[in-house]
Amino acid sequence: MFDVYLFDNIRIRTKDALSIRTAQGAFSPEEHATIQTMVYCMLPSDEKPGAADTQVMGMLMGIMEDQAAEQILFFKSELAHVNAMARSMFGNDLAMLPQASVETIVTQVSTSPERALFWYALRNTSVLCFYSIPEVYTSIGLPGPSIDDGGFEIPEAKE
Amino acid sequence: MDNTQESREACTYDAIIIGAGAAGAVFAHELTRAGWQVLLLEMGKHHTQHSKDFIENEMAMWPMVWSNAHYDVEGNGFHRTPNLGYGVGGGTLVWTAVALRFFARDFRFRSRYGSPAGSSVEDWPLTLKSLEPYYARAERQMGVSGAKTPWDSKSRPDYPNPPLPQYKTSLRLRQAMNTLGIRSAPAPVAINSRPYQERSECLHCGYCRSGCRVDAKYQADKVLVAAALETGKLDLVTRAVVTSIDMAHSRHFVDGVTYVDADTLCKHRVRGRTVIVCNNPLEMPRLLLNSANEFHPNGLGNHFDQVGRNFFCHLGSIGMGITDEQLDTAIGHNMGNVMSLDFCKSGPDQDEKGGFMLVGLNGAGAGVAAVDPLRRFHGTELKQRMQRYNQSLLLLAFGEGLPAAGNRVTIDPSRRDEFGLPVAKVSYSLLENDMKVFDASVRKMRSILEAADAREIHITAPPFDAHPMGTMRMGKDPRKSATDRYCRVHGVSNLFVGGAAAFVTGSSVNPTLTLHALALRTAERLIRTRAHLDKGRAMSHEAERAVEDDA
Repeated sequence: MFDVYLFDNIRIRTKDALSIRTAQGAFSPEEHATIQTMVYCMLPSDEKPGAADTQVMGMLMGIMEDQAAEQILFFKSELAHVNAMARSMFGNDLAMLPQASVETIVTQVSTSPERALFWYALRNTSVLCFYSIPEVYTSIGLPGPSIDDGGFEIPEAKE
Repeated sequence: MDNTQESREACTYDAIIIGAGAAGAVFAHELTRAGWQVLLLEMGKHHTQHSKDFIENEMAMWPMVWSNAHYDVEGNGFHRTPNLGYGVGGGTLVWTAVALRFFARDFRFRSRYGSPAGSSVEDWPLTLKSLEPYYARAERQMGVSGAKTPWDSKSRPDYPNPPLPQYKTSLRLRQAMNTLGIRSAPAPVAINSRPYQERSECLHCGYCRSGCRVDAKYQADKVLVAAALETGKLDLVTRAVVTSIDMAHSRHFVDGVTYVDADTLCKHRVRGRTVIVCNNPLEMPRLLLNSANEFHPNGLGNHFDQVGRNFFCHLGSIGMGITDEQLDTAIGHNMGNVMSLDFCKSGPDQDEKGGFMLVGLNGAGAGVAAVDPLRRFHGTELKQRMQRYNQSLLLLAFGEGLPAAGNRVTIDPSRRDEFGLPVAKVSYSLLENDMKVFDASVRKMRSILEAADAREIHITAPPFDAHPMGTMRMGKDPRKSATDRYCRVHGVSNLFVGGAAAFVTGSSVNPTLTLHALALRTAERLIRTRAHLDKGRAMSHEAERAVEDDA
């Protein structure tokens, strides 16, 4: 019922796609580094856990690498755009830039209509994974599973 | 019942049902209780032990219960919202259980409002009054909890269970609505407020969308499919991907279906006297179009090019109001602890036709807030707001999207899935009226959250698509509809559909109770027609007319 783009925007699964996916690693180390830099910027560490303090990258890459070939190609193309933007503005790939420059690039990507499909796919999947991690949701005060302890009592309403 | 593959292929079932979700389970239950031998084919798995199989974590549940279909998309309306659960129980495994009846006016949209620009609205070929007995039965089967609301008629029967307790968030939203003169009430929900049908009462854990581990929420596999299996008349096959509905001897009758075992990739053909298609409104037309044959070269039942047309969704938007009060937003059943139906209809002085419902949200799926109302934030700005999730009021609007002939599901023969079948292409562009309804809903949510003294307000825009409907709509005229008033595919006497695909228009309230009631009505019709089949009469139009005369 909620708006989750995930990686479906052009996904088509074919036998060829399946064989491509299983035959080779989906993302290069450089592409992985670009994704990680974006996700760490999106969910920074502070007094509460950030993406770097959790296994969110593992969850995210598990989902991304499970996509059809066409989808993976779309992401590779978008990551190339991001790095081209980084080189054009700051002279290096995103993962090699200082934090302030990374934030500039990520903010630009987040507001670019041309990158919207990519941005929402990456952002939505990252935040859904992130806030499903126990150390994260407990850090914002969510109680987590309770059924085995009997759930919650709701006091009588006083209207 | 001998459930070996050999026996399956040797026998002719009284009915083959495709899809064991909210509608398919109703057919399986009703038909087996009437003595029919039924084959129920489901592409997902059967999770028989919810307390062990399910996990209180939406992401962990994701691969288990959400459909992983892939669509080619055209237009600005469809964002591939994955609200089509799969597995035995289908969407009821992950639904939020709001169980509202449509209003009488919802069945008469065209007569009431005319046809807004670009839309293809029609009246339903049935009335609320004719559906009321089935609504009542559906509410009993589901165990709906609620009390009469300001919008219910005086003659409305009591709900099977009393309402659930009100949460802090709901009290604050109700107070705000009250100051604005907006009526509010707890929504009827198919969640037990007390033990019912040997199922637990709600424990307010906050994880409705992860499947209910204690079965306090109505889940069709536990309530209906389990009972159907107990009759010994139901043969349930999971991991079965139906690839075609088959027709060999007559253009008016289907003979059975072909399916592939998703694990072994073996293909099987089974025969049935009746076929009932209950998969979702995207996959249903895809299957009929992929079932083209020499009698129906443009797709099964598609003589007038109506299969797949008139698609529409609810226009979803979430408002998040961050307050200074600890509200325990993360606990409680996920939707409908409070609602207002004051805006479900528009008046003559309003530009938009139709309306929207407002409903409160709770629950532990905090990521949804990060995805939707907070979608424009990232970094520290996002984390700071999420830090206050438990101080937030969440209000959801469902706007009434309208069908349009050009909003449709087709197939793309140049692109195929892993079973070699052309994939579905979804063409869905929002209409001017859709956007007016959405804008009105955003304004109203904002005013309520302001009245609730929210310090910060964030509202989803543009809308997301929720509750796909249409594509096989009912109607009297086969040139404007795909199925008749009993959900039978035009031109094919023994092929029926179940689910929201048959909806003509969609109201602005959640569709599941209505599709359940419709399935009960069609099942009853089938059972009554069976007497004529037993006398050796084919289920022809003549037989149908005889049944009507008897009635």
